[in-house]
Amino acid sequence: MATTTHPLPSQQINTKRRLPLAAWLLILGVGVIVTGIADIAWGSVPIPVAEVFRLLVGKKTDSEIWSNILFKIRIPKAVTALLAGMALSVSGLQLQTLFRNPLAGPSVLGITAGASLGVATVMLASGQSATLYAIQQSGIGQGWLLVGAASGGAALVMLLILAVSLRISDNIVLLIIGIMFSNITLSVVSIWQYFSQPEQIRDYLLWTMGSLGSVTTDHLRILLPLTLLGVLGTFLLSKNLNGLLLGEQYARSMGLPLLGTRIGIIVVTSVLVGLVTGFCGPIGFIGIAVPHLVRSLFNTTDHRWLIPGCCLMGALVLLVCDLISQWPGSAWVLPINAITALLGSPVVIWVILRRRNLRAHFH
Amino acid sequence: MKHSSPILTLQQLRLGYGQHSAVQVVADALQEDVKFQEMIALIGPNGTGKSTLLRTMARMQQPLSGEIILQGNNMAGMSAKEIARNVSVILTDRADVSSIKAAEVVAMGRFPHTGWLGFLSATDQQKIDQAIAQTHIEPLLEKPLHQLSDGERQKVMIARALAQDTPLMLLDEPTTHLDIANRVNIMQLLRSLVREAQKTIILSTHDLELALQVADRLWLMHDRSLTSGAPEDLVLNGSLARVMGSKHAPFDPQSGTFRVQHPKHYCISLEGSGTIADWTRLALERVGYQVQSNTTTNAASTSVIITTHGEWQLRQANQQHICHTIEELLQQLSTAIRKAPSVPNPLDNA
Repeated sequence: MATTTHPLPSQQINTKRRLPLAAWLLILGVGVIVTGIADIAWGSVPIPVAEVFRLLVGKKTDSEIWSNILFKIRIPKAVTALLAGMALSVSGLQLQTLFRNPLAGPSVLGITAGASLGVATVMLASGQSATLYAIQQSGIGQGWLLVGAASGGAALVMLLILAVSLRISDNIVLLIIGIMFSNITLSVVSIWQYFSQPEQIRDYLLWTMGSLGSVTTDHLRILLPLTLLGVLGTFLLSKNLNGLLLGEQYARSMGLPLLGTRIGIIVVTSVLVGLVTGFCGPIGFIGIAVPHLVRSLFNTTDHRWLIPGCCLMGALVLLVCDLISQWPGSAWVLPINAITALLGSPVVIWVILRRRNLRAHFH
Repeated sequence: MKHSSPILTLQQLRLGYGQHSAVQVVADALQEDVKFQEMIALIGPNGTGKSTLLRTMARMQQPLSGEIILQGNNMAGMSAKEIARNVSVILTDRADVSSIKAAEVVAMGRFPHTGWLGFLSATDQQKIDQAIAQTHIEPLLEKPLHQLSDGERQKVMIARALAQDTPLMLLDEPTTHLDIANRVNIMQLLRSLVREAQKTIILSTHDLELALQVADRLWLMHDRSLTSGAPEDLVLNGSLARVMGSKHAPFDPQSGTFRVQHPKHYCISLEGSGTIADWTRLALERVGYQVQSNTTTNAASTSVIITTHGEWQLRQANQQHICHTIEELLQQLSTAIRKAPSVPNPLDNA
């Protein structure tokens, strides 16, 4: 405190408040690294941590299998968990701020449903040859087909939402329309399922349970830069997100470009959610819960802190979920969607009961 | 600094809602000038378009037709950011996110001045500190909005508007929900901002008595138009009484207040002077007496005489009573009427 140049009250507050926040970010960062290493070391075939480090720094190891498991399966999966966690949390944060609703999440705009429709189109319509197994195993072309279909579906819904948002100025109306789009899309998928073969439905259901493991290194070449771009875009929106906190009327009175901000948020979240859903399936819960966790932990409403917080916390939570889903020594890999909700819901309940300030963020 | 040209000019402004066929005009042909460092109180019955006018002047809403000239520039050609650097607004809506800290709310005022990511420069910080000092909210800074009282929250919002550093401030009913001490406090604060911070302030209010004391000018909105003038002129020429008064509470130009009209059933004379006499008169009027001051009392009528000891002597027919409080006096009067039907019952006249 003695070193502050402005010994004025607000300046002191900034210094006093921001130090622990930076510390929190550091703690979360360390947590992500530790969990990330644990995630690639443990699994149905445990690899000694020492070997993991040796492999990571490029040294040869005794076992070719370990090397293969590490580089072809576990590292892509861990990186996917990291990126998906970041993308979903940051999207949830933005949508909660835009819609001023604590229950908003990546699924509210119907983008997840759009991706589902795309995937259903590929799986249910393309006959036996395009089962999930075939799609995943038949190399780049088919794998990309699934991803492309999911992203295309997400993009379609996004364009619809954008078209609506140009005409409707009320965000709550937009929220309701998004949820309705989501319902319409999912019911189209249901009807489609009804008329499909059991094997096709099974594949589609497997996809809806979410999987971090189907992302290959090739996929990461797309997923990684686009996710980082999306997060960067969110960060560039952080001033406007802060401006929305006092409500749209005040935001407008302070010169915030409402329409541009809204379009920015919709585009960024659609790209992030569409990508992750396309590659990993609809992963629930993270997008709603992580922003609440971060807000409670950081006790701030400043998005310039919340966004990095959500990135790290989202990555951490999804890595932990992945770690649990491939429980060390067990031959099974549980669906990630089941784990995120099973693990996360009690955490959120605990946070809400302990803090009792969830509503205070929104009313 | 004094400017000769107006800071804001309304030219043939038509306010309202809707498009094309379904237009609802709230006010029309408004033609006004706002001078620098002027405090204008916007007065008018509910639904006459006070909020609509304020919102239109802040460009949060488009006028149906007409122009607003802000410091020589047509507002229609200005960007949202330019307008936000010249006009700050305090709305009636409560800020929804109440876990936000007061200090963060004030800092938000710098929104139109900061760069892409909203980081505060030394100038920004200085403006924020200045706004905090001008509104005396130093003890509130670390508190979240929902822990503040209505008066405190209003001050924080004013500090935010000050941090926005605009020559013109528009406030929509800044004193509603506040107790009298806070109302006066906020009005005095705004007055001091006009004087010391060179602000031009336009505020809407239902607090006419207070507005009459602090405003340089009143804008009286009524019947889709606006009457402007010094508060005193509007009192003297009867505009205020015409627009704001009603049968039940006519405007009393003497006191500048609205007096609730009580039906008068009885006659009584009152002797005495000073504050004690004023309040005795109010009490008697409330229970339905027509009070005649210091008239020569004839023995037959009822009269109240305020004694030198600050007590009330009630004379009725040939009875006398000393009362120690007004409550006791009123009690005495009501029983006397019931007991003595020989006293001419004013209810008969009613």
